[in-house]
Amino acid sequence: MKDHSSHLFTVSSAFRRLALFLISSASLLFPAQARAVPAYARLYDTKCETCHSPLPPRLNNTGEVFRRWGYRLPDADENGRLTMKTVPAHGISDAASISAEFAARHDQNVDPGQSKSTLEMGEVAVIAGTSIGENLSTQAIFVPRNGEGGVELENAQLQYNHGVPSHQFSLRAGLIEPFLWMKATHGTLTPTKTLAFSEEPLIPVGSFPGFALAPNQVAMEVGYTYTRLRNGKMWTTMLTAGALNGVDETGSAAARNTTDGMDVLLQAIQLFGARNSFGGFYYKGRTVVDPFGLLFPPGPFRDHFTRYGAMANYAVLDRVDLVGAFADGKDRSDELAGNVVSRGAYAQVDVTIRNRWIANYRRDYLDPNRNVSGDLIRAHVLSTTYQAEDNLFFTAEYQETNDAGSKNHGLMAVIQLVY
Amino acid sequence: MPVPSGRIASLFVAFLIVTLGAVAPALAAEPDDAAIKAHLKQLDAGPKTIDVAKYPADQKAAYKLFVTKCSKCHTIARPINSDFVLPAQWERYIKRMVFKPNSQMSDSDGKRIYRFLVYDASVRKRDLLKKALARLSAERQEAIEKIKSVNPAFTP
Repeated sequence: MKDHSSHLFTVSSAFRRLALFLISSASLLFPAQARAVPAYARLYDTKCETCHSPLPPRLNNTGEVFRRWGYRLPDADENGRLTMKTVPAHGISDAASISAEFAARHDQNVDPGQSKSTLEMGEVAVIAGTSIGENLSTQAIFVPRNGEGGVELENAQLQYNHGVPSHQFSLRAGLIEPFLWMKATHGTLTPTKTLAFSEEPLIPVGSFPGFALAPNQVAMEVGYTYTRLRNGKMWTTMLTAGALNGVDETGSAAARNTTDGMDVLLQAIQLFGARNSFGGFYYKGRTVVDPFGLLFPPGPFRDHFTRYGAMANYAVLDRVDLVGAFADGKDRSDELAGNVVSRGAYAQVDVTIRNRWIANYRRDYLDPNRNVSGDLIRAHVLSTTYQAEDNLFFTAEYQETNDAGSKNHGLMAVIQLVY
Repeated sequence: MPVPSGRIASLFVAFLIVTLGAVAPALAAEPDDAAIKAHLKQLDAGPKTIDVAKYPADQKAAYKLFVTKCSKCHTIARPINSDFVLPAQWERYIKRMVFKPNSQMSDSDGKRIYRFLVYDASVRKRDLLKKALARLSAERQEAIEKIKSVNPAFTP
């Protein structure tokens, strides 16, 4: 076999630099995926706080169940028994919200030829979703302009629910967000997303940019949700098993399954209290690298990857939320004729300073290859967000990224309009 | 991964038309819904505060709790301008609110808010309350006793 290890190292480093740039410097150019959807609040004649705590887009447990039940709100009858409130949209205007972002950013270190300070028109997205009749629901997220000026269909799913409110069986399919536990992925409340659960691959394996946990995938998922309500206190258990198309050789969500077998994702989540939760997941997948054998004969190569992790959040006080998660993983690479073992974790504290004004601090850590020393990526993220009215968000963020000893300091200000 | 915009846009429009447009006729709004929504909108547009300067100290404290808890899911103007005045109406309504998933209202919170709303109705909505009492027959005496247990100065 041809020795191309030094070339691979260069390729891997380049992937990681690019990915880090994307995640830290230009994360707004890519879909944030989780957003507040004021259309739901208008439809159900309620406030954002019903489903989001401490601020959108993070879902509290009512919001998690609302989403799981196919946009049907958990409610109670006069005897305190759990019921399901359904207010279907009567047309697109009832079901849709629009969001737009604008950001200013300054970085201490940038690649040659790039500006340290930029103004960015972020993405514009249309989010539409509703329950349909007693069992069906649908959601679609259409991005007429992403940060690169392109057009994307980010999410299009159909869900079927069956059962009584306390026992709900569900089947959803389409281009879906596979992870239910959004606090680790898109509900982090900071413009910069977490390293271990990023949307961009950060763990390159040879010429494969790597597998990222957060992106949407074409998938089909079956689930069971048990919900108990007693004196206004809700307790929910969610179990799911999904078959997914996985990712292609570029690390992007695959339009078609690239191997003979599907990727598999298993999840279990327990919700308790108004917004506390803990859960775990197991992902097993594979992809074909260099499928035509053009880059590195004797390609193509297979990469079999597994990821597992646990996540938890707890509100220690009404104004303080603690969030933590880790994800371990292993890539068995034909190309490298070996394994790449990775680990990532983060801990975050969210403090409500006053009504609709929060501050967040996150410590992030990612070891892309535990067999290699000195390649740790670490980050401090300090952020504050103020929600003015129901539709306007102002965010300021400072972040320090330390990529194997190379530091970058970044400042960001974001205005987001959601209606 | 960006794909040709025309194709994506067409897919999106088709998706929405099929899923939302096709089911819309089956989901026509009931006339009652419109009337309820209009009534709630009217309540929401009214005053958002109560002048509790002359209320007893325990009711002033209960007012703060009422504002905090009852503005979580709906406007605070809604209960302030509600035409609910009788103890039984508030009891039923507050029970429903306490029972709501993740209401974060304890039984004790519910009782304090109930006492505040009954007291407030006996002072601020006195005329409306008297009219409502006049319409009662068997339950009238019980209602008056409940009001007097919160506001002994109330005279029907």
